[in-house]
Amino acid sequence: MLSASMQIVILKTDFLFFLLLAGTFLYSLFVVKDKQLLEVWRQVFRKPLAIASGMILCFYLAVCLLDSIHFQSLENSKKSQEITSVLDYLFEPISKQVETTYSAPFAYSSFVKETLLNDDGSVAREYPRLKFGGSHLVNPETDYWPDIWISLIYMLCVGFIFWLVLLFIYYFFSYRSNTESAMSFLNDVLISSVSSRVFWIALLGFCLLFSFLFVFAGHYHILGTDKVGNDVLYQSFKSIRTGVLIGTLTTLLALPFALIFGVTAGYFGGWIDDVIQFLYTTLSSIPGVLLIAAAALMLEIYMSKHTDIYMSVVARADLRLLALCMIIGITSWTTLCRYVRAETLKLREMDFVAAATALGASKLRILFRHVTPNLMHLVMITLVLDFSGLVLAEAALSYIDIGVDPSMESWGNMINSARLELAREPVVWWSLGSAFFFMLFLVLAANIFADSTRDAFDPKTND
Amino acid sequence: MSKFQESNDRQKILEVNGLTIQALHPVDKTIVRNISFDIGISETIALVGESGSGKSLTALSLFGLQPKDIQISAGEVKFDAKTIYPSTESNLRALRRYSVGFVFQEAQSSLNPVLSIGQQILEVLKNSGTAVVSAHEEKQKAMDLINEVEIEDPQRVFKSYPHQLSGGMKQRIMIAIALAKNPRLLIADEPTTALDVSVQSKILGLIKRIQKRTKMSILFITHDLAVAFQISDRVMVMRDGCIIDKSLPDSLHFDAPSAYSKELMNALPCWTKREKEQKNVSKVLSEPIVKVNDLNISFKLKKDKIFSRRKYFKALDNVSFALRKSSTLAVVGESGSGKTTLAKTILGLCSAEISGKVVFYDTDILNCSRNLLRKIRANLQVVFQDPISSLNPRMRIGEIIEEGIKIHQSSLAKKDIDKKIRSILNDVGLSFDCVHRFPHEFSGGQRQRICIARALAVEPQVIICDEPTSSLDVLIQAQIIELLKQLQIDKGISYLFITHDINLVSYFADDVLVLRKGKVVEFGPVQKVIINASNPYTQTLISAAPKIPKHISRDIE
Repeated sequence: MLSASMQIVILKTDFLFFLLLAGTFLYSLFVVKDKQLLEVWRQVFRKPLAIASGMILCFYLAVCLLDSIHFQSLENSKKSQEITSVLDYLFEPISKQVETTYSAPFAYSSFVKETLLNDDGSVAREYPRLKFGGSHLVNPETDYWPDIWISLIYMLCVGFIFWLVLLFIYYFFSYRSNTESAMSFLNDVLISSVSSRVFWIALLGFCLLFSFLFVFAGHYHILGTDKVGNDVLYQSFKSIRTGVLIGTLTTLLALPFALIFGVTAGYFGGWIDDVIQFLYTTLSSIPGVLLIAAAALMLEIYMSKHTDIYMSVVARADLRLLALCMIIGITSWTTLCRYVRAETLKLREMDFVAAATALGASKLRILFRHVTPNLMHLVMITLVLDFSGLVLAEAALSYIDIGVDPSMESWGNMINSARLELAREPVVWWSLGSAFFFMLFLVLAANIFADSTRDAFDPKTND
Repeated sequence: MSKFQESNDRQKILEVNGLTIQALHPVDKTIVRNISFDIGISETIALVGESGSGKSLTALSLFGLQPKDIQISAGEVKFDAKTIYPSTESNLRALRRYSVGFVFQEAQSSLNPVLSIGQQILEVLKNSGTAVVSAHEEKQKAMDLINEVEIEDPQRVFKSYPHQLSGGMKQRIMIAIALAKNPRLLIADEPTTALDVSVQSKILGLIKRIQKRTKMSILFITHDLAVAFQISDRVMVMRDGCIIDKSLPDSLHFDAPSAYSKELMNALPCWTKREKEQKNVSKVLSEPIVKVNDLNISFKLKKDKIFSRRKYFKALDNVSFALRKSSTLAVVGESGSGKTTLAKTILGLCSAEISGKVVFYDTDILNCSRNLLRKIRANLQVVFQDPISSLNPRMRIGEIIEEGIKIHQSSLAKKDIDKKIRSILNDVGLSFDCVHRFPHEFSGGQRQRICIARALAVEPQVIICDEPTSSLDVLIQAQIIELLKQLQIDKGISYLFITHDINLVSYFADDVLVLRKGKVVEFGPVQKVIINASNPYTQTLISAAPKIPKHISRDIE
């Protein structure tokens, strides 16, 4: 349990992530107050795809949040440099169940043959039993499949019952006063309205997923183990934070540069435009990978010289993540800046800007009220495309060892460590496969959600 | 239905019987209802109607060019005595390729910006299935076409790209391209709407001359009754997808015109209408509110070499005039005469080399401090031509109108602002519940009302109107002009009214300033300058404006 001897630790990236969440929260408060804005967001959530992808995004964000609440034990202070997160705590049995080497998903024996000494003293080459995966089976050859089936049925029941409980709670709170029968409620929720049907079906999916994890994760390695025997499921979940943070923090760091420089260059023109154009042309002609590699190396040297400041492994990895976000952010604002500048040039000549000037509006007012809001669709599209691109870029950078710290779980590191095993026969596919699917779902959900948000916010399309 | 019986002595090129067009998406809706007409060989038929009456759609659907969600649901169409509806797409394509030419309103978007004019004409020539000829002959043919549409310097035009040509030139090229396949029928969809009056009359004349030579038939679509009567042999009036009026066979006379046609006719602005309306109103000459003295404006041109001398383009040359209090000064001229530059300068929006004086009461706007200029700006407001780009698409109507109030009366409470917005919206004929809506939810006329409301919010004394009605239908235009007139009476606002529509000037203006290439041709009261025109340039402007022949207008009224 979280005892009094635990101390909450806020890492730098945690802080930024909380800031981001607080911003989102404030924005949602603002939305609830503004009727029209609320209506627009309702429109977003009327689209079935948007609901489903929004729920997936929420799931990722929730995992990221759980993984961003770090704490440190104050007892035996020598050993307690270790910083763990709430997610680590939740996954504790799994993360500690380390096998010796590779094992396939749902396996009860190792993937690699070992020389074993039998009870009678003879030596045999065979697949040894795993220490934790399927260790509850007494006689695996006969018990394995019955156990899987029983657990599967058990898991389906648990998931479905949990879903029914949620449905009932919803009924209890929103329809209690209504005298109409439960049938009409079911009709309302599951049949007549597409959006609510999609919501509940997606929720059923999540319930089943959670009960699946709940039932199986303790007994088997659902996604197998990697070379040193770590659970891949746990790694994949830990990687969510890395991916989401790289995606969001980097775009957030790049956004002010792109917007401010782009708008000023486009609106004021002249020498300001020339300077800014020169800046981003120069910046975008430096190979980004080299810049990132140089920064990563410099940071590493800096940290190894100042070991006293960054003592814990986690804090160091965290600083490296932040540095990576910053350096990618600094190099990647140029594209958006270019778009923003071009669009501002166009908007500057529009009649409504001239009309506002004629009304006596100041330049700042024109920039904030007339130019910037008309750029938002552009910013939104670019940000989301960038988000997906960055999640993928992290994987690529870690693959060539200039990404996040090797000690930090990330999809890129997973892929990096799994790449050699692709040549193996039979192939070790699960590390790569789980990294792939976790990334795919995140990026796909983000893209779909952004698409429908943009549609709802574009005044021309929502007639 | 004797009045709809057509004469049979002419051979028909196009016959349409009971055509009905339906939209399938987003809702099933009949757009065109049971219309019938025909076009004889070398005859010009004008189809007149407001935007949204289905006139363009009718023409497009006949040859399978309608949008995907729209379909012909009933009727019969014959082209040259052969049935083309119902028919297959390939038949229609052959027809479009060999026999029917199209000219659309926007020459700019009808031409491919990355191909030269010559290439685009040659492409059509190659596709129109004439006998295979050598490249040299083909080029000669293209040159002939360019010559045919009366373009000076065809060699240069052949090599140039669309953006290097003026609007009128581009429309000529579109006509040349349409002529390349020797069409038997030319569909002209508002070909002159985007052009100014003198170019319009030249293009109309050109079309007529070509028709005489080639004996093609023309289906001319327009919203302008005057243009329709000027160019066509017969006129049909369309409204809400029905043809509600047809002129008698082979004539422009209407047997029994409907109320709608009469209304359209009456909406046309002209001097006689004005005389009728204000028989007893005599205006006292008031003192000037804005005086412009010796205004010179020149734009810097790019240097072609670093050390070459900088060249200037003189947009306005020694312009002087005065705008009197609560009166209307019309600024007339062809496009490129410096009308809009003049407006922008008076508003203080022009960034060029300016000399001269623009005096508002006693302050020189061009040489006063920023703070003073900001205060004066409330008195000088503007309404632009394009109702789409002049409203910020991301702002609600309420926000748009209150912006000026917030700038100039920042101390006003929310309740008072609302009250003010309510009364302004009432003034311009809109209801208060539109404050929460976005500009795209309104029609062109309503948007112009919103623009006027935005200007009114700061209680201006002068409103500069930069062709505010030229993109609107006749009826809407009449309503907007009526609104402007009413506001002038109620609030004593002066208008600087920029336009190229001479008819509108004679109806609406008190004084007229005629500009040509940045120079003042004439300045004086409307009676002197327009009604009893003596200056030759003004006379050509007046004669270029399309007019409905007297006997026909009497006929309809």
